[in-house]
Amino acid sequence: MASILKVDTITGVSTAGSIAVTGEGNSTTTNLQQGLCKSWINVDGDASTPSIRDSLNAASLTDTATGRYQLNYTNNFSTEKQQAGAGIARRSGSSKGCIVGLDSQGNELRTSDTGFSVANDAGTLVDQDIATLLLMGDLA
Amino acid sequence: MTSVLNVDTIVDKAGSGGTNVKVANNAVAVAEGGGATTNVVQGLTKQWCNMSGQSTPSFRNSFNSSSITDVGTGQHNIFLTNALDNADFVITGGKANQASNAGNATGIGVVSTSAYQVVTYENGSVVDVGQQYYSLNGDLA
Repeated sequence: MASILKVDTITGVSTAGSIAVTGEGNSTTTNLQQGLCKSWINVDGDASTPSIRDSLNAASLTDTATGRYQLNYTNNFSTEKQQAGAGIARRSGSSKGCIVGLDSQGNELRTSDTGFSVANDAGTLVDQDIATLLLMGDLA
Repeated sequence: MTSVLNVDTIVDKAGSGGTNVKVANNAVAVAEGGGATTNVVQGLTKQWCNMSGQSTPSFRNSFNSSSITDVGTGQHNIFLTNALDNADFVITGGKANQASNAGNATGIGVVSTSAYQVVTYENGSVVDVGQQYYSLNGDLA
């Protein structure tokens, strides 16, 4: 019979924010917390006021310029040096290729927000109807 | 009353590994810094694949991926085994160059709760690519 353990919070014994999960091959463990995506967003980027369609750990979105945005987190990262971002966008009205990248926009990367930009296959910054971004790293 | 589970390793009850452990969709984990919690299920990648888009498209390795259809040069639909709750999910991905020093771009085409389309470009033209890598984050149905 299947057993069900009901809890509200999963916490490590040795370190509260570090739990090992056995890997698929059963020969090693992987860190649960560090393996989780800490923030992701799907953005309507070509609306007059760009908005977040769905998200994790996203408090708000700021439209900083054509093809450039700032994602403000609900829970901050522990350091700006551990974030890794990646994403893909869809050009409005077509399926042309696009590139989404982290963009510090003249500032140092910060723990409370990150800038990102969307470029088309010609390298020009453009507003797109779908822009997606995912961030990994350690939360504070 | 709030309950707290203190453990170092999670395995299934048979002790053979973690592959059969189920986590409820509202579970949270204490963050690395201990100052916040993060939703475990929302933080999990829900689909990924390493695929070839040349000849007959195929997965080399994958998770929650049922099939690929070739819908045109450089365009492939990737179908999911378990569908999403909504189509507002996040796709990340990359590709290897087919030609030396080619400018790369990857785009999303039509998306639904059970499939998404990827389009691969080099130097502004669609091209079938042998090495493509994608992952999906979002909410499962």
